[in-house]
Amino acid sequence: MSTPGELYACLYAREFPAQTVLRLRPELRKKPCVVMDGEPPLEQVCSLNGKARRMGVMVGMTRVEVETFSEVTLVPRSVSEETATKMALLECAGSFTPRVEEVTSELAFLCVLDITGTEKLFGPSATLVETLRKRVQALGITASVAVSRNFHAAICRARGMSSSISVIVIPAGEESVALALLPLSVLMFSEEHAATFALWGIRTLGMLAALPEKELIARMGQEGKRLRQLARGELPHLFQPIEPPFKLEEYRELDSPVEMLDSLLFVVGVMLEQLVIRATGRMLALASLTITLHLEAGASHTRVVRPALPTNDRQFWIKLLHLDLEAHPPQAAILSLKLTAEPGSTSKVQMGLFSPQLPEPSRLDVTLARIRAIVGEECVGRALLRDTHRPDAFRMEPFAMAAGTLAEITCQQQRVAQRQLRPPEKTFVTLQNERPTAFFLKTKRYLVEKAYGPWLASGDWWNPELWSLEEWDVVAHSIDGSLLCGRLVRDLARNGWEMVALYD
Amino acid sequence: MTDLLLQAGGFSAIVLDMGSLAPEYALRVPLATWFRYRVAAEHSQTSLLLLTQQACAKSSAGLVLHMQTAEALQEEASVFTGVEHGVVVARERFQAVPVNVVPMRKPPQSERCAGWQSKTAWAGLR
Repeated sequence: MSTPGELYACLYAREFPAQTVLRLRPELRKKPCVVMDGEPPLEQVCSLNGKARRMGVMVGMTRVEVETFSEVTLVPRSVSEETATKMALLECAGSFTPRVEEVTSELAFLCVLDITGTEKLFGPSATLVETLRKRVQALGITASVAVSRNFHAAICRARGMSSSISVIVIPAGEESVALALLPLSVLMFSEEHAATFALWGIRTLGMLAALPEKELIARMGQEGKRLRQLARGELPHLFQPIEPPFKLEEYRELDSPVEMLDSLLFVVGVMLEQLVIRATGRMLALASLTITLHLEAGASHTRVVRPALPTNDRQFWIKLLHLDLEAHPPQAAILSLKLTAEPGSTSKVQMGLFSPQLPEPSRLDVTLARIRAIVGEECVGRALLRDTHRPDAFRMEPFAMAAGTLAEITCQQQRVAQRQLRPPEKTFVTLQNERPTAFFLKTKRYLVEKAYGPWLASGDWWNPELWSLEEWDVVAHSIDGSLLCGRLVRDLARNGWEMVALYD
Repeated sequence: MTDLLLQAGGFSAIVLDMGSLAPEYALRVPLATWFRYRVAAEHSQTSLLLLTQQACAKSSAGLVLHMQTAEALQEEASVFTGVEHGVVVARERFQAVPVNVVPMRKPPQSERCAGWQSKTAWAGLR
């Protein structure tokens, strides 16, 4: 029996291991492909695609048997990839309803969505399930969806659906009619019961539903009652929703160790496409990307790429990853990789008609990544002063786009530019009454016309690298008459003079 | 680096400061480089400002300015207050073509030299 208001949609993806494998390997989609499970000498086919099935390959065949078919591609089963795909599907289902229950199934993916009361959001149930099917299709998985007022009836109908039909909505009260023609194999029961039903000549759910209840219970016990209710689409169910987390993560095991970056980026491109589809489904963009490469000898190599603005441009992400991995290559061949993305809101910037031209954020990110690859990570960004008076104390931090409008810096008068000399020029200074009167700079002698100072500064006396300086602003002329305005510094700790900056 | 920034486009101005380099080193940069920069700057509508001790971009430069020897300001006795600069247009590639039509407004007048004062951050307002 089912409560009148309830409505369930069952999402069923058959041959799940094979579909998972083909999802991230588009090059295999047009070839017959089988997934092998088990320890190497005793591997068996656990799942296969339609092309392999048409060639005569069957589940349970051994490797030797499969290898008699010349064109069939054998791929080992990857539970990690299946888990990642399962999470993607559950998260996709979770974007339609918060109540999703996963039904465990060995070789298929099965989850049931409670779509009660979603008409105002997504329209009639037929529209919703069609949208759901298309979203799942975009994730690279072919699934069938059945809608019913009974939880189990939806599952049975989805399991028994032929490959030509992908969506079915069972009208209220017609569950037993809709299930009548389905074979008994859609019910999960023991081999003993299967043998009994075969002996009785019961082949379809309609036949099972027509059996008298009391006599069936007398012969098979409560399990018989349960199976009869299942066949009639009347078995009640206590819905146990799970909370699928929204986690943008893709995992792929490589068929053979990869050393070439280009080959790796080809794989990354396919995975990125999936991440972008999932983020777009929630009106989000990828804000940062973490790539974890599992290498030979058990090591792993992790890199994080974070552009200035979240974006869903796949080519742009590939370019950034390419530049980053080129600058920081892995030290061994890659066995598997995991991509994790952080979602961010898609940014829309309204440009003014008369506003000054600005670099396009994505192109600027690529340019910065290229510059970073040439000059090093720590040399790109913007300089920020440290909280100290120590000369030349600054640190670099990455560029960040201002959230609001840029504050206009108003300056009432022209400022003198200070050209810092790196490294400072060592000088020989002539002193008179403790004031500089002449100095040598790059083998040229300068006579000090004006010397302003001394300005004393010291700090870090609690550290071994304590510093103590005496600074002079000097206006000097050389013998040939050229003017030099600069800053002379005397290191009191070492008693040496240096020209640290010139006033331009 | 300058190449990358010029190719990226979108910048209004890019400053390449080679002021610390001695002229003999700056002049070693091939002229083809400056020509490439000029074309890239034209395509991306960017002003490229090159600071050198001697004009080394030659015919690739649209405008060559010669900074005159500065004079130190001596407004205060105790602190360095600033510098007085002077600049002269040494060469200008594109000049306004004289026309016979008399404009309604007075056209901008050409100025070949200019001077200004730049002051240190600690110099007081006067």
